[in-house]
Amino acid sequence: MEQILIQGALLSGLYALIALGFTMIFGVGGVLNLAHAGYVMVAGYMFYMATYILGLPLAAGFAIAISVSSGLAVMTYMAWVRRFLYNPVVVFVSTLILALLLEHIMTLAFFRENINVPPIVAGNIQILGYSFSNNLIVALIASWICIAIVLLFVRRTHMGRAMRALAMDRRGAIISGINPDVVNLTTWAISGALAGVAGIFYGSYTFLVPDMWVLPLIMSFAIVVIGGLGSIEGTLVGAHIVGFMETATVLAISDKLRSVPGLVIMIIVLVLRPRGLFGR
Amino acid sequence: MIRRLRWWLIAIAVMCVLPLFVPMSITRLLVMAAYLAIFAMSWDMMSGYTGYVSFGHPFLIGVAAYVSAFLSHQEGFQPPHIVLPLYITIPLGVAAAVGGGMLFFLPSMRVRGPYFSLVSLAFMEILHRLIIAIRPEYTGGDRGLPALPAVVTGAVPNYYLALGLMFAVAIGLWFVTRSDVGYVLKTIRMDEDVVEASGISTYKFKRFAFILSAATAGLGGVFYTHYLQSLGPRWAFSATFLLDIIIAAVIGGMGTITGPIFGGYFLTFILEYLRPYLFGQWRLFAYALAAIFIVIYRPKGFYGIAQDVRGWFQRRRIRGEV
Repeated sequence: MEQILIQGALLSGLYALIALGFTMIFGVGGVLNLAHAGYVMVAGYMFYMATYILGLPLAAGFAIAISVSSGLAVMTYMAWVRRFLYNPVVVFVSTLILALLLEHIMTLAFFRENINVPPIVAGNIQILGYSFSNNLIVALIASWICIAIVLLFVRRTHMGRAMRALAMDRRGAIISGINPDVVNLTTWAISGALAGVAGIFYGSYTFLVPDMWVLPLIMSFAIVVIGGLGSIEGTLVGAHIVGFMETATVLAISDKLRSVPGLVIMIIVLVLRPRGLFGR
Repeated sequence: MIRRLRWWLIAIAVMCVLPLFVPMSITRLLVMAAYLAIFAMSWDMMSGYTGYVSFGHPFLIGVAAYVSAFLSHQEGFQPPHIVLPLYITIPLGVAAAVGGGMLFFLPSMRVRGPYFSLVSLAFMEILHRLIIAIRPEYTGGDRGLPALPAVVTGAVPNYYLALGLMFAVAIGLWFVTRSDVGYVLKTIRMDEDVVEASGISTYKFKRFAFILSAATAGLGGVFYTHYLQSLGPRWAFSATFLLDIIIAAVIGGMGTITGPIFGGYFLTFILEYLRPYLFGQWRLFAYALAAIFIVIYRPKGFYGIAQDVRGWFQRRRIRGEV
């Protein structure tokens, strides 16, 4: 039981990080970035390469992983998504192919084999008689710090207000002097950075393999649909529903059914409340 | 009419005599290409026309293939069960694809936009997981079902079967999409509210397009799995298979039906002919890179390029005459 609580909280935190970036891009720009989970995968590999192959300090590993995934997101937006905001089908298909392209690049660089990432923080801690790795606890705290920073940014800063304004009414925001291009770019950069943090910890939580992006992508679909596409509070709630369900399923039933309960809840939510729990 | 269709008639005639002149390996490739073209057309019928991007076609194909394979499979089951002949299991498989399609169509069509895509991918993942996890002694689990009965044996009969199937599907979908129905579906892609406001129930039209698409996907899936004589979750539900279908439809030209046929053949052959020049992963890398560029720079695909070229020739001819 305690194991479900701690592991579930960690997985929910990671899912929240991934889905938060996903939903922010949709809220502000109106498109879905399917390459998002690809950035998660790339960040995991970059962190592994910087820290364990090149032997750089941890801080440098974090910096490289986060800047690479954030840079990739900015590049995706600048290279073509900017011109196709009115045509979601092209963005859909092209970003899905981009995710596959990133998978191929990582396969070329690191081969198609499972890489176990050593824990970022070594050691174990005893909680309520159960032993948990410090790594897990640090990942949990780090993901919540990132979530808190993003929430503060969206609520308290001018740029955050501009994001919310664009999400509510694009035309009204433009009339009030907001440059949608700059706001979109900032959103993509933040979302890429969130994917980077998630990738670092997701890699050390499971293991690195080039097609590890598929499951987080599908699960962030479920999360954003449950919470309501474009809603930040909804994403946090949805991530916890999906994360705890998944952990409970893995620990109680079978690892093979890991993604099923979250997706079934997603379909139920879609039938009963198509806007999602917190959608507008 | 004949004049307008002459290029198509020539193409059909060439396709019909092709296996007499090409080696066996190319014939096999042509069979694969024909099936990919069927899947791409099926995707185009739904997503290309209405703009509801489906990531769930492997689900439809998989449902049909698994139902038919399961019922016609002869060995490896714990309790003895009835082995049905193919002419019963194939219609059942197609019916299952339509039924399963309605199952995911109904919840996801209540909402618009990206939700449909998200739900369709979820259905594919759920089916994948269930097939692996639930009663693997029946479904073959991760390894899949081997040694399925074939409809016809040999490369050349299979070629004609696939070709006939492809032309039947293509002609059927062509007539549907060139009718008023196709017009309404295209308008749904452009502006669904306007269609709704003109008193047309978009729901009915989307449902019609979806049923047609699911039936086509099921038909292709059943025949394809009996052609391969094996079925595994690893190919049926992989992101690569899904992307092959979508890329074939998109680079051929969405919303055209004829474009995806070309896309299917082009994709199959370009992947095969790149094989000697680029090793394993590099080939897939180059393919994905090229696909992104085509999607970005020519969202209308080869159909759009062909139209551009034709327009250029016509303009030149007019200029020459004047």
